[in-house]
Formats: sequence, C-alpha cells, structure tokens
Amino acid sequence: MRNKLGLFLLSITSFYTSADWLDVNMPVGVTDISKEVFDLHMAIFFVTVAIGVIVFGFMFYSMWRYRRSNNKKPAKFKENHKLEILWTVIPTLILVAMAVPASITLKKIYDHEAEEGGMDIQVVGWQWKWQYKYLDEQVGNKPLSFFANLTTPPDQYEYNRVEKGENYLLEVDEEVVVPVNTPIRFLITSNDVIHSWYMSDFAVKQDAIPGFINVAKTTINEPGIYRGNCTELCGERHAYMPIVVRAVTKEEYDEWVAEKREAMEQLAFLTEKEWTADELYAQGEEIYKTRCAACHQVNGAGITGFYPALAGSEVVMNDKTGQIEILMEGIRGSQMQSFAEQLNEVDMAAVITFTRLAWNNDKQGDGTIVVPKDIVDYKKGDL
Amino acid sequence: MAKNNFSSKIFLYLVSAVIFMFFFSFMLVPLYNVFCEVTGLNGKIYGPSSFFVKDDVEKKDSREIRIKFLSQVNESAPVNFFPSSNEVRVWTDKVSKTSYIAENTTDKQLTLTIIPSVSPGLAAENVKKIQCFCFEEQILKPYERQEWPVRFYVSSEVGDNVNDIYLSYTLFETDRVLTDNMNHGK
Amino acid sequence: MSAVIENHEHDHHGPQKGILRWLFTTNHKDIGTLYLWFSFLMFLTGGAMAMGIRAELFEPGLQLMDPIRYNQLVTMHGLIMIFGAVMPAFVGLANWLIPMQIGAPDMALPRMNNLSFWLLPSAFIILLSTAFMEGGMPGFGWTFYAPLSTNYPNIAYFVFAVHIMGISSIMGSINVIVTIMNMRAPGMTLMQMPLFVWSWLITAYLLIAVMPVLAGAVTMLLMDAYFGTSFFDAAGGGDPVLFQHVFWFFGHPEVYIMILPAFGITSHIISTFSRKPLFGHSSMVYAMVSIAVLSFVVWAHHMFTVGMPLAAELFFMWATMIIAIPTGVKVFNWVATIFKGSITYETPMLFAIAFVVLFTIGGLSGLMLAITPADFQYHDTYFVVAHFHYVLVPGAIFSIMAAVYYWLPKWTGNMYDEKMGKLHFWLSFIGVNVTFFPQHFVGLAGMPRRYADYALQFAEWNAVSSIGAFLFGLSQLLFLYIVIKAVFAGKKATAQVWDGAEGLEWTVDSPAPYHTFETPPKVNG
Repeated sequence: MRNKLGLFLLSITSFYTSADWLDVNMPVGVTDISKEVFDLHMAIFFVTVAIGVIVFGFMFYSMWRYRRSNNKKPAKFKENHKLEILWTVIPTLILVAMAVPASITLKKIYDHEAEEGGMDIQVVGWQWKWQYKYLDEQVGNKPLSFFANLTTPPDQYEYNRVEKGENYLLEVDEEVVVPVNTPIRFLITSNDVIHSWYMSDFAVKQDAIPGFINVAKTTINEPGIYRGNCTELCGERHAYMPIVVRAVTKEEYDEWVAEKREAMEQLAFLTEKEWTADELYAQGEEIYKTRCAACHQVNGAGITGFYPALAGSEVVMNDKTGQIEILMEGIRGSQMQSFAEQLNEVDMAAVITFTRLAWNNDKQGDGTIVVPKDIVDYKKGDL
Repeated sequence: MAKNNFSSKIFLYLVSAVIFMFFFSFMLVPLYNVFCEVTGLNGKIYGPSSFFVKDDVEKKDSREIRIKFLSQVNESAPVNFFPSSNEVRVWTDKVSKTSYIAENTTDKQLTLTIIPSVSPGLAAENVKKIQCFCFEEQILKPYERQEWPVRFYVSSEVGDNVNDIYLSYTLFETDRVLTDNMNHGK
Repeated sequence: MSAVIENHEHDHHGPQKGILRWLFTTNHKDIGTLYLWFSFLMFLTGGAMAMGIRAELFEPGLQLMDPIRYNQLVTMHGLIMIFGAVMPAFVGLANWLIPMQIGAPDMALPRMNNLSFWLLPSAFIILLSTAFMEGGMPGFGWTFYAPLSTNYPNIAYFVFAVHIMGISSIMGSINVIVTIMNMRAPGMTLMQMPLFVWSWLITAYLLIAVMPVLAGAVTMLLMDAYFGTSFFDAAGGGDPVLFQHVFWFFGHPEVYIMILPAFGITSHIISTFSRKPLFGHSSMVYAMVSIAVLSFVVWAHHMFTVGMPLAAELFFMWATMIIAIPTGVKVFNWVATIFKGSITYETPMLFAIAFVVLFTIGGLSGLMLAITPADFQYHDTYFVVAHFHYVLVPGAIFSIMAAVYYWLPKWTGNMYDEKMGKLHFWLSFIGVNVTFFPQHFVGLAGMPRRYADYALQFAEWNAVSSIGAFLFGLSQLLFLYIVIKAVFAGKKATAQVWDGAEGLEWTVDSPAPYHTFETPPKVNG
C-alpha cells in the first residue's frame, strides 16, 4: 500500500520533471515522405485553426454584442443569397487547394517500385509479436528471419510491482536493423488476425492482413533508433507488441548481417554440445518470461478459462514427447501457436526444460528434461 | 374511413421483391467472383488461364518485369513452405515456371489450401497462371516434402508503370489427421 | 411523464394505471418518455464503463484490470453509447416532438411504435448477459473486425442483439417517414416543416438504407463463425477487408444518423434564444440532404491503411473533404442567426452554443483526418478518438441535453432549476474539454487506440484526460437529479415556455395533454 502511494506521488511529480508533456505534435520524422506528411499536417492544421479563429471570433463577438441587455430588438433577416454563395465557394476553393498537395504526396507514398540498391523485408504480424524476414539475405534456403518480442518484464506492467524502465513497452529482444539512405520495401502480412505496422518516424502505417500482402516503402535519412506500435486491435496483448527499428550505416548493417549468420552457424554447434539441467533451466527461464509468461503467467498458473496452467499440468510433468509435440505443432483452433519457427532447437529445449523443473513440477512429475538433440530428433521423426 | 385502401397489387409487388432479394443474395456469389476477376481488386486471381497454353510465345511490345516470390504460413501451421527461387525476370507474354517447396514437419497428414496474392493489386488480372498448386487442396503425408510447380505468364496488358510484381502465397491448414498406418517417409 | 389531462373532445379511456401503462402504451408521448429514460440509463451504464477505462488509463501499467477485461469495457462502452444512448435518445425526441410539431395526433403506426421501443431493452439484456457467461462480453471493439471477431466467444449473442436493435431502428424509421409524409397538418408543405422534423425525415431514410447492411455484416460474421463459410477468411477465398467495406458502408452513414437530429435541435434552440428566425432555412434543409447523400460515398476513409489502390484512396479523400462544405454552411448559418439577434443564455442555449463550437472543432479534426497521407499518421491513434468524441459528446450528447432542457417544461409542465442547469452545463463543458482535448496531443505523439497500457511519454496527458472524465461523469448525476426534480416540482411553465419559441408544440399546454392535435390545426404559409 505504501508502495502504491509512493508511486502515485512519483507519477505526479514526474509531470514537472519530464518534458514529455510538451510533446503535443506529430514527429517530423526522418524520411523525405515523413517530412512532407508533417508539412501537410501543419498546413491543414493552420487552415483549421484559421477557420476556427474567424468563425468563433465572429460568433463570440456576436454573442457579446447582441446579448439581450445590449440589444433589445432583434433583426428580422432570414437569408442573403450572395453571402451564402460566397461562403460555399470560398471553402470549396480552400479545400481544392489542400487536396492538390495531399494528392501529390499520396501518389509518392504509393510508388512502390523497387529501386537500385533497395531491399525487401517481409513483416508478419503475430498474436502478439512481429516477425521479420530479410528477403535479400538468405541463410540456406530461407531468408534471414527472427521474431521481436516485448522485453518489458511483467513486474513492470502488472500492478506497478516494480518501477518502469525508460523504454517501457517500447523495447524488444530483436531490433530491425536497416541501412540508412536505402529504399526499403516492407511487405506486410499477418499470421492470424489483422494487425498494423506503424512507425511514426517514417510516416508508415499499413495493416497486416492474413492472406494478403501490403507494401510500404521508405528511405531513412538519419541513423538512430525508432520505435513503433501495433495499431489495429488484435486481441489481449495488442498494446504489447512494439517495433524497434535501428537505422545504421551500410557498413554497420553488413556487420550485423554477418553476426546473424554467424549466430545461426553457432547454433549447430550449440545444438551438439552437452547441456546441464541448470544451464537449460537458466536460459529457459529468460525465454519463458518473454515468450510464455504473458499467457501462462510468471507463476505458471495460467488464466482460468483462457490459458491452461503449466504448474501441475499432466503433460508438463509426465509427457515429455507430448509437450514437445505441442510446442512444435501448436494446438489447432486454440491460441497456442506452433513455436517451431519462433524458437531454435536450443531455446526450445531450454524453455521446455524450465517448465518441467519449475513450480515443483519436477518433484510431482517424472522430472525429465529436454535437450536440444531431442528437438533435432523430433524434427527428423526419430523421437 | 375508406375500406380496403390496401392494394393487393402493391402487396404482391412487395412480396416478390422480398423473394427476389433472397435469391439475389445467392446470385452475389458468382457476381462477386466476376467483379473481382474483371477489376483485379485485392490482388485476387482466379482459376487457371487457358487462353495461352503454348509455351515461349514472344509477342510484340514484350518487356521485362521482375517477379519476386513470397511465402507465408497461416496460424503457424507446422509446414516449412518457401519458394524454390526468390525472384525471376520474365518477359511479358512468355510462359515461365517456378516452384514452391512444402515440408510437413509433423507425424500427421495435413490438408492444405494455398491462397495467392499479388501486389500491386491492379496487376493481379495480368498475372495469368496456367498451372498452380493454388487451384486445389494439397495433401502432405507425415514428414513428406513436395515441390509444387507454378507455370504462369504476365500479359503485356499490364500497366506501364509496373516493373516489379510480388507474387505471394499464404498456406492455410484445413485439416490435421493422425492416422495409424502411415508410412513415416522422409 | 405527461399529466393525464383528459381532452374532452373525444370519448377516451385514460392511460392504464401502473406498469401496464408503460408496457402496452401506443401513445407517442409515453413512448418518447420510455426511449428517453432507457437512453439515460444506458448513458449512465456506458459512462460507468468509461470511468473504468479512464481509471485504468490514469497511469501507465495495469492497475485495475487485465487487458481482456479492458478490451471488453472499450467494446461495450462503444456499443452501449451508440446503440443504447445516442440513437434511442434521438428516437425518443422524435417520438415526443414530431407529431406535435407537424400537428398530428400521434405517430402513423402506434402499435409498431411500442414494439420498436420494447425491442431495445430485450436486445441489451441479451448483449449484457454475456457478462455472466464464460468467455465474457465481446472484446473486439465496437467495430468488430474479422477475423478477430470470428473466433471470439459468445458472438452469437452479440449478433442476435444487433439484429434486434436493427429491427427496432428500421421499424422506427418507417414510422417516422410515414408519419411525416402523411400526417402533416393541412397547409404545411415540406419546406415549411420545422428543421427538427426535416432532420428526422432524412435520418430515417439513412437508417432504412444502412441498418440492413449492418444486419448483413453480422450475419456473414455468424456464418463464418458457426457455419463454415469464408466471407472474411482468405483460406476459403474470402477477404477480411470485405468485412470492413460492408461494415463501414453502414458505419459512415451511421455517424451522420447520430448527428443530423442534433443539427435540427440546434437550429430550433439557436433561433429561439436569439429571438430571430433561422438564417437560410432552405439552405439548412439542402445542406442536410447533401450531407446525407454524400455520407454514402465516403465510407473507406475509415480504411485508408488497408492497402486500397491509389485511385480509391484519392476518391475517398476528395469525397470526404467535400462533405465539409455543407457542414460548414450549417455552422455559418447558425452564426448568422445569432448575429444581430437579442440573445439570452438559458441552459438550452448554453448547450446549443457549446455544440456549435465544440462540434466544429470535432469537424475540423475530421477534415485533418480526411487528408490521406496525414491519416497514415493519425489512423488508429488517439487523434481519431479525440475527433469522434468531440463530435459525439459535446456534439450529439450536448444537443440531446440541450433538447431535454428546452422541451422538458413542455413535457412535465415544470421549469427545471435554472441555476442547477447552468452548473451542470459548466461542469460538463469543462469536463468534456479536459477529457478530450489532450487526447489530440497523445494521438499526434503516437499513442494507439484500444491500448490498455501505454509508454511513459503519454502519461501526463492521460492523467489529465482521466481527471476530466471523472469530472464529466460525476456531473451527469447532477443532470439526473435536475431531471427528476423537474418531473415533480418547479415553477409552472406556460404554453410557450420560452420567449421567442415558435412552432406548433408551443401552442399546446404545458404539460402537453395526453392527446394533442386530435383536430389538425390550421397552418398558413
């Protein structure tokens, strides 16, 4: 209770310490298009302010000047055709003037043609995370691909247990690294329901629709870290699937790609090595917090009626193969996705091992663990 | 009060209108198909093209277009699904061939529907598919890997400003069956 | 609500005593009263949900509820306010006023009128009963996009409730049109009709045109969910975007349905309290007709980010901008009515003036939203939430409050407490602006809609908005008190009630007799 009061007071005083409340406008952004969009926004904003000032000004003046105590006898006029034509035509001209630059900018936004030196990234919305596939960077027979999960811990957002970090709700475990000054086409789709990929610094927002591809093209002019959100209601954790794009120089981008390839090669080595239960447990616990706790909860108790409990679960305690099958294939018709694409063999083994040993499951069940080799064997059909 | 202002002619007319509207809702199914084929809205492509079954016909005003292939699996269905090649440059009105690979990662038989989508949407009506795995349901036995061919051409009627086309396939799982006497192939 | 004063021209039974009166009434005044009280009850219910939402959003983090519950509150708040508060309130006003304003004894189809009302509580019982079922209330937003909604628990109840509400609206609209077209007092041409009646004639046509479309959308949803069809499922050859097209084809005219009667009310009140005839009576009619017609061709401005072709986006941008013109004409005409008038500021006038100013602000943010490239930044953020709350709360709701204050003395025979009325106005005015103006800021800064939780940079303005919401919410309890008090007590009202009021309803006693205009009045041009 004291904690809550303290946090409440903290939140009030922070009003005066942070400059965020002065953020009352759209960002100018870091692409040519976003600057044009900002200019359009300011232009239409000033037009609307001007209209408001003129109309309300005249109105407030009339309200004061012609109040009954000041003007006993009201006029009787009912119409004035010239005036009415004037105030129909003039707004029309203003709107036409606005429509022209707006249409030009829209046409530019719709130019999705590939350019020399450009790149394509397929963006897939999942409940509740984004997946990215770099179509121009192949690893084996597939594009370089990864998932970006929210890393803000549940302790921060549930009931204010712990103070919030700086990038609260805007931090992920995998950033979308892209080179600056490169035309990037985002090919946006969805794995399940409609999501929307929104980056305000690029003025990019396109809905992610299952079965269809939407294209958004952008060229980022300045290096930096840019954060975005899902902007179409997609279920429970709609507010918990942010986007982080890191724009870097071409050299840094190539380095990052090389690192990613190396990590994938490392994976083969990691899969072969001998893992202890403690190592798997520690790694699995971190994965569980980011990928599983949102639904199955940090204490493994799930949410009655929605997400089954893992603590004390028959499958988790006594059915190693069954549990692997669920994670690899998902449960059709339920919220439980297949995690085969989202977790590599090591992470898969680690998180399964963690659930089998946590919350007294090892004492109550058979206490068996799963090693990466088990997952490899399962994929071959040998388990 | 005048009796029988009520006209039986109007009544008959209204009832027939209701009956017509009821059947019209069934007519909407083929009507919608025709509308989308004609306008190509939403990148929808329907059925095989049978106009040009000759291979390698070079026409006048043929130009080069780049086609990029995308794949997507819906609702995390346990299938590895990807194009055998990521992009190809084609000449309009010339038939090209590519394929997609699908690998069943489970020990169950999967029934799959694959839905194509073309971007830009208005180019969809010009991407004519002669042979495509998207025309019918596909079945993958446990652990089976199949290569699915696609034969298509881009008609020269495609808009002048279109130089890049994305052809994307989304794979939907319609059934998952565990049968006992399945040969676990590799 | 109306006193039972016998009209001795005819041989009547009075209304039945007790609850049966309200169950079986075919009297337009009683039915109007039923609609208005139902709407007030729903307004408080939807408002309580809004309080829950704003309480959760007071701070970043989840303090009071999990996101499932939050999404349910957001969804139900929208459904209840739109279908339970705003629309029934306008129908209630239509029932009370249209027959009196055109000199008719009642609506054309009184028994159907009764059914139209009683369908509404039934529909809402079905919808709200999902709160007690496993799976809970709908949580997919009032716009229930597929495929999120196709796989949600309890959607059958939601679909059924929407069907019933739709039938109620369609029947009510048929009643309104038939009444207006057939039962005007002799001598009253269409162009001589009061503007509130005009606004409802147009609104009724819109309702008949689009409620069946909503019914189609929810039926297709039901089919997809339970009967294996694929209207909105790409796997079967369908398209999730189809849902959006069908829904918004209903949805856009729907928002004009929710504002046109407000325009009618405002014209009456501004003219009365300026003691001046309404400026440009016929232009006001043509403007409403243009708005209604144009409302059918702008629906996809709710869908600018779904990936429509360029030509479609350009068309919808231009069409949406065009709608601003007739709307602007109406605002200018109201201002011209005030100009050189002799104005007093009783409570109805305060609400009507606030309507003109604040609705215009909402309309101007709507104009900003029409600019498609800019909309790529605004869409699905709090900027949109700010826009539609401005046009609906200090827009439609203020006009309903204005109407209630304006006509309450006619209905009850008592003047409401003017001091309290003004207090209610100022608390609501401040509350509404403190709640919704900062939402423009957080929207522009990038805060998305339907978020149970948000990043730290949005914290300050959300706190301000929540405080405004609590103020606004509490002030409505004051309104409840004012209305109840006026039913039972207050200075006796004259027939005309307001100096400057014109129209047939002001020629009958206050409270209006149970049956009025059983002989049509003489109306001269």
